[in-house]
Amino acid sequence: MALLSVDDLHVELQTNRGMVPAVRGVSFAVEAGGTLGVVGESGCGKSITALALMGLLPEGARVRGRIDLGGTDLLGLSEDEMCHVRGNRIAMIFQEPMTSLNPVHRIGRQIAEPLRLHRGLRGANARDEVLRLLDRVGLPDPAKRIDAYPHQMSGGQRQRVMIAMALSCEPDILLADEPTTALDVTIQGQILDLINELVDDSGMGLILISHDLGVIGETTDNVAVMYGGSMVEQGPTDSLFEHLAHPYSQGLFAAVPRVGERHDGPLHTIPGTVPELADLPPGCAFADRCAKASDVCWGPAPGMAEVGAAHHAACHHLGGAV
Amino acid sequence: MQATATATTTENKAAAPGFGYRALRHRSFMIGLVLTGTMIFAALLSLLWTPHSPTEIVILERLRPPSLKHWFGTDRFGRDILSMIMAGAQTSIVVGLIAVSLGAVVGAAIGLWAAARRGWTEDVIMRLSDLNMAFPVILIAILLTAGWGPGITNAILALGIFNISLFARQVRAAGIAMWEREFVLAAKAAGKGNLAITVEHILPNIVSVIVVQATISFAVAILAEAALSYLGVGSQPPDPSWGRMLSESQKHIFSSPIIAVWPGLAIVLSVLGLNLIGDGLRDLIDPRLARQR
Amino acid sequence: MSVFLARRFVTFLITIFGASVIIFLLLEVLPGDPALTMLGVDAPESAVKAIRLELGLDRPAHIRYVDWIAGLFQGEMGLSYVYKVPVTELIGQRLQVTLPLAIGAMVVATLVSLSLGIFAATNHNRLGDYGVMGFSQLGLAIPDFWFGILLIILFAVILQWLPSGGFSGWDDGVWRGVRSLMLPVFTQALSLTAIMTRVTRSSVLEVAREDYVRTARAKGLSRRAALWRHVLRNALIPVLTIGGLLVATVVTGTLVIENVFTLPGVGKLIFDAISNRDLMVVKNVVLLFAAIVVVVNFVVDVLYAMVDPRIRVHT
Repeated sequence: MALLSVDDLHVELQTNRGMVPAVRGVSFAVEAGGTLGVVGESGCGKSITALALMGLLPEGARVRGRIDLGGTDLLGLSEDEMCHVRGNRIAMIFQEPMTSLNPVHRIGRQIAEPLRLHRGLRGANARDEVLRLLDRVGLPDPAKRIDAYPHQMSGGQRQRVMIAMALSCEPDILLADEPTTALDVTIQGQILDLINELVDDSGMGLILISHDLGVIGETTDNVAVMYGGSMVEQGPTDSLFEHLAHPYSQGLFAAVPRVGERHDGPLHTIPGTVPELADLPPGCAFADRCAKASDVCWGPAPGMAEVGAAHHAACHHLGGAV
Repeated sequence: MQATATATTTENKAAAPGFGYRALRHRSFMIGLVLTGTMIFAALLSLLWTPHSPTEIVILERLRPPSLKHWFGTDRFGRDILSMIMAGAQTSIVVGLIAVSLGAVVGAAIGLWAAARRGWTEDVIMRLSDLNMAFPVILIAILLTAGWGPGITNAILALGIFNISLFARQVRAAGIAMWEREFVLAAKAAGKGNLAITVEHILPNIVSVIVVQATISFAVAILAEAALSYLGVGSQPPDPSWGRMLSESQKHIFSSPIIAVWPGLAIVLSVLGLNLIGDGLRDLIDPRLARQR
Repeated sequence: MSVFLARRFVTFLITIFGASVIIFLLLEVLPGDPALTMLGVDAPESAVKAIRLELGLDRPAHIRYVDWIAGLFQGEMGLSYVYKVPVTELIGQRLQVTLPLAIGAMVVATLVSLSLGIFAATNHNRLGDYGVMGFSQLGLAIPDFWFGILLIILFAVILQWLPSGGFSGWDDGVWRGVRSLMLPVFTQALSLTAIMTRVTRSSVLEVAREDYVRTARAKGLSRRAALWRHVLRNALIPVLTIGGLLVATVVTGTLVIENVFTLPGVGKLIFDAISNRDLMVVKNVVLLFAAIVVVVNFVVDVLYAMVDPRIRVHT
């Protein structure tokens, strides 16, 4: 039994064009100490999936399926019960460290908040624990930094603060939504290394969401590729990077220029644009941008089929038959 | 800039159904139109016909409760209240029209000038406007009344001066933002003068600001005229006025409280109508702004 | 920051000076002979002469202006022509009514509008929100003096719980004074509440969409705890700014409300002075009000500069 297993998750969002499906039947599992990378273009539903796990979907959203964390279905929990899960058993790091901290509170107080909430730590005990956490995430001079305001810190430092906050209650699952996208390239590596190290030490599960294949490849054991609210390919990172089964995955990887490789001619691009979720075609969502698409692709959507050891893809044209 | 460009295209797409169609579907805007239309209709009708004379004194019929003959009853001189309210709409509209036109024409011109010239011209205008802000409408009206004696002109002047300053500020701010846009830079690069750019590029783009402000200011003017007339520094007898009707009604508040209700309702519905139109126009002209609010 | 303060202070001084000049011009120079303004054009020549001598109105205008300002610096506002007492004394007495009225209205409006605004924001796009917004739309359209009259009809005429007006002073006991000021305070608070409710609601809604509020929820804070700990403090900054600017509106609003409830405050004083043509009183009271408006605007500007981090960073 996996630590976290998500089964056939559907999310519909309320928009001014009515209810729009943003996540359409996503399933995956994360073991304790396991790492899953979720990759896809912006708007593919990966962040919405994360927010669904946290129970923080925007107002008016409808969600169904099953999110099983250690035997409990999170979707069946009340809002009060969910408050005990958030920050305690599942914690999340966001993309924008610059805006994700409250500008009017000192960072010590912000990190202490989940400690007080979930572990009942107060006063000096909480402060000691915050100092330990700040030290753990590699923030220099924690004794001084603990009383700083967010605007006195750099983006990388703030992201370390966010990580300290997420770690504070030793969660089972850490959700990291594009944790390095907003940072300088030099800092990105440090933050990723820190996250990797913490996951190895603590044995928590990590779900890393990114559009950056390099980040995913370096950090995770398993990868899921999302397109148009569905998962199109999923498997162990090594196997998947070696053998890309789904045309979308192939396009996604071909579009990334690699250092040291010779390039003749233009970079590969995927034709067309990411569809609006409200305008998704029936059947395979990728059909109208896919070079291999044929009549069958406009019919019922393809199911996941095994293409390697624990490696699955959802495409009518697997195995190279065009 | 990229983001703004995309936003503008989507906005145009959203505007496709046409202003009139969207206006018809904007419920509070339509309610505002009906309320304001009723007020204007009542004022126009009162020029030709009222149920009774709004000024004729009939002592035998004083302080009558509402009846079939006098729908809203009569006041302490036996005048028909419905007729007085219809005629009072004239005063409100005239005061509002003059005061708002002063602001929308003179104030907007000053604001455009300040935005075009910047530098010390703008400084002087802004300091004058600061000075003006020190005198809320009611203080200006008090000064004018103390110096020259009471009269409706005081109310009109006080509101006009206030509006000139208000419009000048608003138009200046909107104008300055417009001057920084690319198409204005392009016009400058093409060698066009300040006046030409103001008329061709700045003014057409901020007309909506002026229209919305004018609607809101009209509502404010009606409220202010009523308050000034209530205090005796606005319209004078025998001119019909909602504010003065209220001040007279207070003398009989224990015997005939109902008299105090009608003129107040007339003010509320007129002001509400104009405010709804103003809010609605803002939504309809700039849908992006509406979503943010 | 200090450069900003200095600049703003100079503007402030110039504005007050300009205001005094305008008041003087409008009252004593432009209308013609102030003696005739006070007594009427058909007053007998002897009376006009007497008042000119008594008030020094025969001196040139610029001398009288300098005299007035010099007097103000020594805390002198001259004698009321009608009451024959120093104007400072008159204003001092009347402020005992006007100040509690203005402060009471600010307090009531702040409490009510914060509660309503937060309630509306937390019930965004639900019935409660629409109700509050409708109330605020209506509050903006109701003339405050008419609202006062309606309150009189309800509480004084029909229910007979509270007096319809008048004020017998604080000497008869605080409770009696408070009773007399209750309806005026609520009347004065109405339009204020309407505006501040709107500002509070939109400010809370805006801050609630901030990333750091999502962070707070992700830590496990309930919706309510996130609101109290992370939204409100940030959301109140614009509300307080608007509230500060509205102080000027309240102060001039008391002029109207005191006349609705025949309260012997500064507002009543000035309208009595207008009918009595008591120029000394009008001149000084109008300057006092203009000065209050200018001072409040100045203070709000400075406070705003203090809470705006972009300005704070530069110091």
